[in-house]
Amino acid sequence: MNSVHTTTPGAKKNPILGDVLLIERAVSGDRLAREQLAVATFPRVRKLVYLTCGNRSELDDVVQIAMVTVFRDLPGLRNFNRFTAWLDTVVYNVVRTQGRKRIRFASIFTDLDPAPESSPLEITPEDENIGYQLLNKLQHHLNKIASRKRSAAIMSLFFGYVDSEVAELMGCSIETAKKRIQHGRKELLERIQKDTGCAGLLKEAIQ
Amino acid sequence: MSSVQCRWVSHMLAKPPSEYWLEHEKHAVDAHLEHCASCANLVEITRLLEQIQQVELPQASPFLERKIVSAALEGRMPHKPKVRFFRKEIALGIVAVGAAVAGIVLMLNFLFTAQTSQQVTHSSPMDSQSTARAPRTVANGDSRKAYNLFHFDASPPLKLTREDKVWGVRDTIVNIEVLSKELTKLELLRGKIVARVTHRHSGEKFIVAGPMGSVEVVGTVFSVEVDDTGAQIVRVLEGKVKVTDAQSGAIYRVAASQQLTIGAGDPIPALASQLDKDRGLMRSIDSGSAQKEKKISNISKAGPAAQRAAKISNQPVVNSVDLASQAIDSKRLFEAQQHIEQAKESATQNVPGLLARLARAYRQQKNYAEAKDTYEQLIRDYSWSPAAQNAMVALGQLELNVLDKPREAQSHFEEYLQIAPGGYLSEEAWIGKARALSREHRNNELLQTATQYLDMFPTGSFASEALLYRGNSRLQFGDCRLAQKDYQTIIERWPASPRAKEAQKGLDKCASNIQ
Repeated sequence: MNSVHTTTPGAKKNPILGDVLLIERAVSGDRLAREQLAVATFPRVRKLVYLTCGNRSELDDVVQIAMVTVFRDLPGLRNFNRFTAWLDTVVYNVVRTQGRKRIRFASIFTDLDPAPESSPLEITPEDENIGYQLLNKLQHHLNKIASRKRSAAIMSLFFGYVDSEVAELMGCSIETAKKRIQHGRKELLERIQKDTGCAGLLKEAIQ
Repeated sequence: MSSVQCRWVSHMLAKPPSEYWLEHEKHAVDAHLEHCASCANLVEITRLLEQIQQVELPQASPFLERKIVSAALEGRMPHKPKVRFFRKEIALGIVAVGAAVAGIVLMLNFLFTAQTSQQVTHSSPMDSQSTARAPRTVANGDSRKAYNLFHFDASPPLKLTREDKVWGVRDTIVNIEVLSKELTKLELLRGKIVARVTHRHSGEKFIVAGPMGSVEVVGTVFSVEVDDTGAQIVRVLEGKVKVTDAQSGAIYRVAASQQLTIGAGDPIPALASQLDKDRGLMRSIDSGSAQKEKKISNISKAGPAAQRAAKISNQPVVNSVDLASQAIDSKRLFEAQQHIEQAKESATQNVPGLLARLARAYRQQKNYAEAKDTYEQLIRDYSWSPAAQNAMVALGQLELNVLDKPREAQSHFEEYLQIAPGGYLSEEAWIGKARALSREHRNNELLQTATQYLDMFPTGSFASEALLYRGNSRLQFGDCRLAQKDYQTIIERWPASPRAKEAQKGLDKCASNIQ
């Protein structure tokens, strides 16, 4: 079972994200430290955007916007111990803002339909990776869940945040965060259970 | 099992792991899971989903990473071209009209081509040798989507609309570009075809295009060949054809008994031997048709299983993975096995997962012998795959719990622990080994195994069971003091569990031994 985080989630996977000294130097403007931090941050931002954004054609643009926003707001970071939580908050807000912009013009120009049911027409080496196929399928199911429940489920499942941290990220009460996590997870589990292909991929990727 | 209980269980399972479950809730869920396969499946999915953090996206290309990182450091937003915005009402109006027109056109097209396309789809999967889907990249490096490509390999012809027939020599690849009443257009990518084309009225065309040019016919028999050098040769047996050179635009009319090499000048008389060869191939069209008809009658006379088997053998290999998967989901396990056999040749990486699912499906149907064979096949032939490793544990559990073969079960658990000592199912493998040893009353090894398990997983899912085994083993060896410790630990940590009752019995035995 997950215990309440005492260090920043993600620090175990990428120690640079938990290196307080490096973060402090980056915040103070050290160019080398900023570069190192940017390289270390990129995979996490990309994963979070991919899971929450759902529009593959704009994925790279949203990742770039998120990264630019992170490093633009970096001087405002005060608690260096909570870098990844702060990072995820910024990225989450960027994705939410981008999603609203797409909705505003949806009726005229933008196609907001979620990713199609079938796999892509052209199979790229990236697509052949089972983990990528699994995340693709999960993202498709996540897109069908309401956005707040989806975000809460993603934070809980993919990034290991507990309910208090999710509440802080999403700017809501802990009870609300708990409900969102639970409902989001429940809906996702039910969808995966019905999709035997996804369940099979999950077993193959994890086992 | 009631759906109300299932809903409650799914509600419980959706709770985050940090949420504490009351003891009675755990018992209620456990009791429900013993009878409900669907909820048991949900538990497995939940457990796997808890590990999802370990799944990462494939790395982005270094170029993309450098681009985005440097943009982030320099504060550059992505470039977006300016979009002109129309007034919303005008834009909506244009979109609505366009959608209506497109819908009408599509409907007409669908109604018109429904009949013509049926013949091809009906006639195409006649023989897997002649109509297997071609690879995406052909020999000259040209890439095509594999939807309309046909790879000829044997005699039965490809029957198109209006009784047109096309036969190809071995390794010929043809792309059906257009198939409609007015126009039938084939693209010959490699090899040689002989075509018998029914008479066309003016405005109706049958075209065979090649790399050098196209051949347009109006009711004739001709051959078109693209050899390895890329030269395209057209030879006419009956009627006449119009050949257009793609490079120069020159048009040639090739009459019966003439041939033309596109780009090499005017038509010349064809060699008699070549014409005979083409006629011989043409005759095989008719014999192929007869064979085809014979095949149909044979299949229809066979029973449903043989018909299904015949249909299965005609399926393109590319789909066999999906077909196997569907067959497993629909519990048609014999059919699934055959699809898996086909998939072994082309999609080896998918086979272990399919075999694992097939074995589980056999177990669900209580066909334990088949399940065992499938697991053994998976372990033997695909030992490199994670599915095969997990199959060792699954087979061990099957042999222990159902087939009552603890010795074999123990060997499979030990095999897993040797190959994947820290694997996902290592807890199950350890406790499985302990159970097998307990069944055979091998107390010495049981004590060692239980101790090892508890050292590695002191708070593991099977800790209470391991403690009980260790306590019982110690009791057998007369070490009541240590046995009492184990029993008391069980009673303290799991007071309401059935193991606590067994531990209490163990304590009573210890007490009587001491006395």
